[in-house]
Amino acid sequence: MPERSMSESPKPVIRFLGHETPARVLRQRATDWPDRPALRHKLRGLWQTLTWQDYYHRARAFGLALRALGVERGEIIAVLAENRPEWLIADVGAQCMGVVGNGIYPTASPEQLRYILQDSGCRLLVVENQEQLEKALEVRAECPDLSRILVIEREGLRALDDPQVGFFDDFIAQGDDLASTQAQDFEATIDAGKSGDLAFLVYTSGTTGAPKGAMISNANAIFQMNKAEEYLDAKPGEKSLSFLPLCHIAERMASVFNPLALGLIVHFPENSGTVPNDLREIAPHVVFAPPRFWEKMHSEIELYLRDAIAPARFIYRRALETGRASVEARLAGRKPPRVGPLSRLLNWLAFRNVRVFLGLQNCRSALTGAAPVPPDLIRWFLAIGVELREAFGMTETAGFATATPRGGIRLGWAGLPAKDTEIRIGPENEILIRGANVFAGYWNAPEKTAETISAEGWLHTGDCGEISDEGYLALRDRIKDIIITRAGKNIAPTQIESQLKFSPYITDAVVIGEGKRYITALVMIDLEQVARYAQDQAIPYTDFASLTRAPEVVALIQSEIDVVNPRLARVEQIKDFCIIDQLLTAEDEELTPTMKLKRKVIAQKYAALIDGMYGTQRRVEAPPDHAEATI
Amino acid sequence: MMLDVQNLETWYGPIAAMKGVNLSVAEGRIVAVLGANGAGKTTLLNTLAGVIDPFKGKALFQGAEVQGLDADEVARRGLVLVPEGRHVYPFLSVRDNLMMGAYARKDRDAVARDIARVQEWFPRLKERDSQHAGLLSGGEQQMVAIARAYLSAPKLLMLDEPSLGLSPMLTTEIFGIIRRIRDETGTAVLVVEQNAAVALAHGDDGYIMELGRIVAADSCAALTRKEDIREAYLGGGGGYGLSGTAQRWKRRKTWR
Repeated sequence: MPERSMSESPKPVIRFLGHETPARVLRQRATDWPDRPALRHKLRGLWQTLTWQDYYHRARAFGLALRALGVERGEIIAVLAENRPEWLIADVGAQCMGVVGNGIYPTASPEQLRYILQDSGCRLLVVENQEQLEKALEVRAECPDLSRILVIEREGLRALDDPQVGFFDDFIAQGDDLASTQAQDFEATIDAGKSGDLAFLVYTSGTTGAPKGAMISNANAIFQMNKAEEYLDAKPGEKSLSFLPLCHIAERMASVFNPLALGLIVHFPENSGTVPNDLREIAPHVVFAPPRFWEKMHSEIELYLRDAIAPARFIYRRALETGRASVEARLAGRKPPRVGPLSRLLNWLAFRNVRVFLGLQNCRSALTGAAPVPPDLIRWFLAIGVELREAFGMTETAGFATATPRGGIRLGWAGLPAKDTEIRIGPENEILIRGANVFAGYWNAPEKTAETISAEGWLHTGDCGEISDEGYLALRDRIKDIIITRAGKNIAPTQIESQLKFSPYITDAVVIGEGKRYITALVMIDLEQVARYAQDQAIPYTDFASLTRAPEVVALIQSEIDVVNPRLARVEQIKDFCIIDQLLTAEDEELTPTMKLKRKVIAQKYAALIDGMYGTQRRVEAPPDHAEATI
Repeated sequence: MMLDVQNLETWYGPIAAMKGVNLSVAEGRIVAVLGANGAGKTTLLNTLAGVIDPFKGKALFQGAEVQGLDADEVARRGLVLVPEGRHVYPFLSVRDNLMMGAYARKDRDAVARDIARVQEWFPRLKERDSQHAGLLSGGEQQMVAIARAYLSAPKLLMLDEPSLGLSPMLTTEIFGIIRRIRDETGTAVLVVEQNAAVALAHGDDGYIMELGRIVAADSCAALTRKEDIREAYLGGGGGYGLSGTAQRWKRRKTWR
């Protein structure tokens, strides 16, 4: 859009350590810290370390091999894999060449993969293993731009013979050979990168419509790297665990750019099932995760203690009680009441162990965001000695836009705007953001970009919220998701849902009520916790569907809703609910890759269930003899 | 309901082998319990038979609780186990093995009739009547084990992996006889199997067990149609993908 860029005044180039692109910062790190660890992953149960120099050299090999393949500056490559060092090597290697990296959720269906490959015009795809390779092979005929597929894990593929498919390690070895003659060239290519060039793409998860590729520029990334110290309290050599999907902006910033800025050592879990163990083993200094993750930690402790011996339960309860008073005082800005040595001892006994159990004993920067955070969750973490700070950000702000400063928690508020960004509230209470973190637009969709970023550079977030006198930002909901009941009341469903999700038995919920007389909810139960409850209470069930139908389970969920209802305004209270009777996985269209229910799909798929909750004619008109027959 | 199992939970020391199992067997039905190694199938049968005491839960056999009773008392009530690996008495003759099954019975005439009956089902046992059971083939030993169990006049016969170590042909034959026993005598059968194809083909109702829990329950015909079961238990998955290599990964199962 040349006309727009002409209307903008030239911005000063943002730099980090004097560099205007992350690739140059990486080169600097490899020179300054050649032997310091950068990435760690497990091989057959043992930690393997890549130093900053190894990291740089692998990225160089990948970049040079990419160029040898004919992939040019500004073109797209993608990675379809769980978090692992190769993911970062491909991504950073591409950045060094000015090639744009993109991540695809490992849970993506072949259809979703096809859409992203076509939409981005992807030239090269790195896949994790045979399973992901199969998806790529299924759709490659429809992706003419895709010239090569690289597989990271060779397992099971010895017999593979396909001219378009190669292996990641061979590709790196080829690049290493090239590096012996082209290392100078590579440096020159890094130097040719400009602040305004694209660094990477992030496809938005697509709860509304088809996914869109958000373009993040070098300037965005460098701006966020400058902010890292503002948000995080971390020293070089401290640890982080990369366990959220790297396709998501938050983890991309946390695993690629924050470590570049702060010198964190990024650890990769063995697989998604080992994350709690890995956390315990690594005890990271920095943890960012959505509220759901922290809720799981909380419910794990609660349920664990339910089965614990009586003295442990007593100490925990007692410590939580004494902790609560001081938490409330801290939140209100008062001095916490003095506690005696016995209480302090109990406190230490109980919560030190809880923190060690969760792997949070070293954690100085615990952040959450991306969904409303139940206030009780923050209270609980404060009580056990973890300052869980809320932040707000989105793909389109290349990560955080606001964050709660240390010692500045305001329950229900998502913190203060990052320095050098402006936030204001527009029409319909929409949150508008302007600053160097605002993304460069949507890939191949100038009209969508124009809808999202105004001519004056304001990003229309689509979220509504408010700003307090102190300057704290609070999020209410997506504007599109606001429910208007038949009585004309505006209701923010996400706020209600987040309260429901605080229950260990509820994984997710969708609140319904648009144009209706009252509010209802569809509830997705947590299989593990509810099955455990059923066994404890001797509730007979066989499969998932029968578990959701058991009257005692329905009563359990009702009691969880009864806990939430009194905290809601009258019109917001949930009058009826249904439990989704199918076990959903990320491959199902009802869920986003991050396991959140998609409001629109749910409303369509479960229309019959929803109608049932509003007592439509079907129920009323059922013939009496039929009713008797079913009894 | 002939057998009604409610929230049965069994531990081996610190390990929960069965974490709450609910299932039922109706009169005259053949019920198959399928699952991989370590799913808790044998634990289920051993718990029902009184070999192990459950930690929790109930097992109602003909309306009376039988969990925690001694094994011989359970067997006397008509809930009889054919253990995995047969466990025949190798140094007793086939006839004496069968008579061991009838040990607790007083009605000699009925026992004689039952012996004639099992010899009709398993003609091979008549041929080997006086041989040591230890000298029989695996299939024949399985026949002895089933026949011996039948001689204790069961109302519900529990079979633990009758196909273990048998050829496919013998397996089919054994299952054919299991059906015949049910058809002719009305004895209900609870059979635990790894050979899902055979068990689903011959059973009426089926349960799938994984890691100590029931994850799916339906008629055998309906279970056979479920995609996850076809893939995980009936050899439907795997095969060769587009890469021309054998499939090595597992799909996440939802048992829909």
